[in-house]
Amino acid sequence: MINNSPNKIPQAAVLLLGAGYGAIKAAQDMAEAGKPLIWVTRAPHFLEVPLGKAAFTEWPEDLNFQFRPLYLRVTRHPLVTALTRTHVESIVREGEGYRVTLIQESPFVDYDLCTGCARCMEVCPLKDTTSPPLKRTPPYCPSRALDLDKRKKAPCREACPLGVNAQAYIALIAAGRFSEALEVIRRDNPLPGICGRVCHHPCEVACRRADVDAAVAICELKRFAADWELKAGKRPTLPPAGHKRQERVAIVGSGPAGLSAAYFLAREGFNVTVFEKESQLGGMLRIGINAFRLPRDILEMEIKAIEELGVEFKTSCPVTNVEELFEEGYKAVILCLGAHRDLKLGIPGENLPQVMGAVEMLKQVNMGSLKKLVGRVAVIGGGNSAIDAARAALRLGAEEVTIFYRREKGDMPALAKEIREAEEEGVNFTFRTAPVSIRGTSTVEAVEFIRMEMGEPDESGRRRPIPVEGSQFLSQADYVIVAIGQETDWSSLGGEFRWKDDRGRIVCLNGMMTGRPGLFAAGDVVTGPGTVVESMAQGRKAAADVADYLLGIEVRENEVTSFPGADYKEVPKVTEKLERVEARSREPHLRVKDFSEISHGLSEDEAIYEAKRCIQCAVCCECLACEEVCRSIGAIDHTRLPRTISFYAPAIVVAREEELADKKMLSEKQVHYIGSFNEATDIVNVLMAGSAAAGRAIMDTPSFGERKKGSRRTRLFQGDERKIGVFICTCNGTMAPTSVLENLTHLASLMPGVEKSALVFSACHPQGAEQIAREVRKNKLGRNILLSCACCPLEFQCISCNDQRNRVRLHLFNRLGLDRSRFEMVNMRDGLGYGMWSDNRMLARARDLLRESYFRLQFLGPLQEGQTSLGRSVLILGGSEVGIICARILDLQGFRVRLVHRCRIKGEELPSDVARRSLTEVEGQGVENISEAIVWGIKGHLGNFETRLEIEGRKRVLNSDIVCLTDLHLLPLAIPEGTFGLKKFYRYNFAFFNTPQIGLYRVMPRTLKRVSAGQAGAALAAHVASAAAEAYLKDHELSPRVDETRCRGCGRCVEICPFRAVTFKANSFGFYTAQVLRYNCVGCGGCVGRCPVTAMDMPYFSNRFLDDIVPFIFEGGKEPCR
Amino acid sequence: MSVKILTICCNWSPWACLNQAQMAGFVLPENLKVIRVMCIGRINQALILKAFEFGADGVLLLECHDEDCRYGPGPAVGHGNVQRVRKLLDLLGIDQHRLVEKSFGAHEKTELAQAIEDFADTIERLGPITQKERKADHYGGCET
Repeated sequence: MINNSPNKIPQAAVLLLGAGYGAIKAAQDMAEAGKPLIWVTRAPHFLEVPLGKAAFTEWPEDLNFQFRPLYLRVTRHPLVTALTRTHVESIVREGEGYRVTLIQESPFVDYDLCTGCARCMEVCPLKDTTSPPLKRTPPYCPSRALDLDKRKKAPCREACPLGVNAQAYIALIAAGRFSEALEVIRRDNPLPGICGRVCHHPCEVACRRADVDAAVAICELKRFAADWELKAGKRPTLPPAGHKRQERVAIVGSGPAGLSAAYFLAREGFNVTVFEKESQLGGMLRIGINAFRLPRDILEMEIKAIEELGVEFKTSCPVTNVEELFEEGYKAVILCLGAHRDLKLGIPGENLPQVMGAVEMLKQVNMGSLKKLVGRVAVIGGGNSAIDAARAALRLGAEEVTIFYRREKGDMPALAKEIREAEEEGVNFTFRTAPVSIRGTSTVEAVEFIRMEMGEPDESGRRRPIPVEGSQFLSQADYVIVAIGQETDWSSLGGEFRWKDDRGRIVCLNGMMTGRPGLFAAGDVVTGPGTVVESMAQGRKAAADVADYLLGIEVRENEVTSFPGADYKEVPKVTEKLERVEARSREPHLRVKDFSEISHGLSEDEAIYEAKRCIQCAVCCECLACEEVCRSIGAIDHTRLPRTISFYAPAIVVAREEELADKKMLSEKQVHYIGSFNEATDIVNVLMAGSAAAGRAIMDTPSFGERKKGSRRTRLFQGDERKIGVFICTCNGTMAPTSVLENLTHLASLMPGVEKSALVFSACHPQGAEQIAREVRKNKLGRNILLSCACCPLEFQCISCNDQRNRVRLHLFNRLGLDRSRFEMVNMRDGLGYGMWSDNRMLARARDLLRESYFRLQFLGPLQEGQTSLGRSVLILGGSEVGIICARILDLQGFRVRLVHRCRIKGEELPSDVARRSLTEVEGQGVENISEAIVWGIKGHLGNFETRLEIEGRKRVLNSDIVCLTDLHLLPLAIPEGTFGLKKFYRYNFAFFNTPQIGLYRVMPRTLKRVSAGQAGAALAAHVASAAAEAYLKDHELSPRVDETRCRGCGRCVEICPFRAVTFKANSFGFYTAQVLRYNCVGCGGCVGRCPVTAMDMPYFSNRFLDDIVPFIFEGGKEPCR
Repeated sequence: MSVKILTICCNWSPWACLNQAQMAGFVLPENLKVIRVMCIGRINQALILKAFEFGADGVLLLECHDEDCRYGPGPAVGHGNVQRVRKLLDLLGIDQHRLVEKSFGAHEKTELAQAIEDFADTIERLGPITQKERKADHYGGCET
């Protein structure tokens, strides 16, 4: 039934490998013969582009439709486990068979759950791009399920220390969905406004757009999203915290690491307290970064957002002893002290009061104690602090600011943008110089420098600066700012702290935990001076470790969101060059006068343009918008892992050798290859070969699998016929607008007899079907209407059917035990024109459909009447090679076989080749060999054939369930081809042995042209085995009934039926009336239409129905009564 | 007064085709009513005439191509029915263009949508049938 669920994979099954029509046929034969089957392909479905064709569209599309019923029947067969996107990992011998290990790629869209509502496609931000990640399966595919194209994680996302999903927020910005973009950022980064301004954006370094023109301005886009929120008048808010936990966690330091740790812990529900020794929060974000780069209101608002999650901040509250925190009841402490103490140059004159460290200076500026700086300023160092200090000095009134750096400009660790802006503002740069001493008595007067030249590269890859002897020079300066690096300031915690190394950094032993259980550390205090985002990543890691520590989680399962083998999307061609947008900023001569922000950020149009430059490397960006709309369906899950399946296979059928790791396997025992085909191979050959391989596999596995015993009929729920239920599928909200459907439900509830009318979120979803079944049982509904996409409740699949429609019926009638004859189903989905029509028009149309189906309810009646018990006796006429092989295989399968070696039709000569043929008696328990016979005639139907034979001069009647004709000269015993244009019948039934009479099979000369006699014999055996596997053969659900009192025996029905399903029988008065052989009937209703006295009638499309529906639909103003 | 059109559609190729057309977004005329049967061979002349009797201004039979019939005799039977009913329509003074049979393969959705549109146009042009209309006095199975 619905068999892709992991717990239903059988322990032992025949392995069928590969897609294609041959495989479909082989699967049908094996499954119907009762062999459990695991069917595997790497492809997304089991259809295969025919050889010599580039695409399905080159194939006569009609043929794909013709395959549809078979495809649906086989893939949803209870014995078939159909696994797509799966490959064979290994096949090893085990006992008589093989141990097979399979790996199924992550099924991001669950084929058994996807209803094809396509809401995910609608909300996908990339839906209008050239390669949308979500696609409907192509129209030739018999399912409406969607396909998700997911590749490796995008390089920008991999590059981000915090793992922010840049691809997703870029995609959302490109689609104009800014608030969602911000939500995506905040999943991993609580400080988008800050990072959008000051991040060193390693993402842009990794960006593959640079291969075309220039990297996407990812950082600016992040800033844009954050700014957009403020412009829209909203304040930053973070996703609410999870359910509250008891444990308290202390974080020491409110810098980027502390804030990020606080956020991620608060999100987990912990009680977090942050201790900050300064009077204001933000750590280095506030102290070390100038307000003109990071405005204070942004900083404050984003910290406030974290506070609103329930994080407690304590300012001016230095922590002096860590153990005291534990004593106060904190279960864990994270030290995020940062690196605030400037390193010293270690040269003479450094102790003069005008010599300052960069952090010290910036702290004074940013805390407001240093407001003016007059004179010449020399800044020593090349990092961001140096630039920040220099630019701050300019704004404080310094006449001349020069940065002295000992290497080249290109070696500066500062961001290029910062250097450029500093240059614009008038900061001077002197490279390849290092200070030797600072001159001056009470104040700084000058700095003595020495020139450097560049030597061999050192471990950082940069060339090592070497002093040039005798190149000392003096540079006048009033202030010296030393920006050569920082280290952690341990003064407040005291020098006693145990867990640090000789560089003053904390050593973490277990993740982010120090040697003391419960004491964690993160940020610069662990790594040495780093960037904002690196510190935040540290904070996040520490938060995760704290959570694991407190919750006692040993190993955290890694999220796998990309799988190997699926490489990035190709970089577009060079011709598509698009210039990168740079944010506009204030004029340098104006901006140096104050500390207001200098960059304006991107405008909306610029942001969208810039975002559209993104290649979307990983195709699916994992913004998870689709998961949100699929929540009730549950088909999409971006975190599903690949799974490994191991089972015992007594035999293997290979449809495509490419699917096999080792082609040598093909010559092994119990491995059957359907064969390789060339372009000239026609479809019937492929099917034939599939059937033959199935036959050989069946022969290999005589005792494997089970034959169903006893009645398959379970009691179906009947209900009270007077009670009517109306169920309307909303198809996860895509059927029609809610108001229309609610109106429709209300209208339905007003119809006479309607006990229950309800909306169902998706009828083809297991839970949707369960909802219907529950209501039906609870309210004892005896007749029901289901308005969904399924167009009938019948058991067979026609060529219009698809997997979803089929699933509705499988769930309701096969799994949940409702009676299909009590249901009327109407395809509302395809006729409603959602998106094209007005609500009123849609409602009018839906109402029409509802009324029509309500009208139809009165014609519901029993569909299937009975079942024929099938035995397992087979009569094979003709001892050709085909017949002998068939007999052998069937004997192994436990059939009782009678094999007549030489037989001729009465009145005809035995052909000389048959007469000369040597007799090969088949030895076997259940085989009865008859060497010669004359056939007088065959009568009956599947399960009850009577063959009249003359054996050694004595007449005998042999009863059998199935008859096979394997000699060419016996063919006239079957209905000849061509009767009523029956040629195509064979084409669509894909059964080359079929005659119009089920149960009577024959081998045609053209079949023997396609395959060898051995293959034909095996295929025939497979066919017989599958026909007889069901212990009971059901009637055709639509086969007609004859009203004997009306039938006048004219014989038109007998004449028109090409299937010999109508015969005459004598009634109790001795008159001959028509009789339907329900096992031969195919349910077309030709005889019913033909009957001049309406003595025949069929279910579902009954005479009364057709008679009444015509006036109803033309004069349907009045509601019909029962 | 707008015209009314009845389509009798075989369950196989034309029904699949109609399905595909609707999925692909072709909108069927509003005045078109569809009755599905298993095979066009299922219906008889009486049903076609009945449609005219109860107010259809045009009847369109959708069937499989001759060689595609799943059951064999369907299209031939449909064809015979149409020929005979046309003769009767002639006697009744009803334009023979009001009864049309068309065959389609399952993939010919564009052709099908076009054919339906053309037929609707034809009937629109011919206008409603002026012959006296019979009211259903027993419809809806009310007598039972």
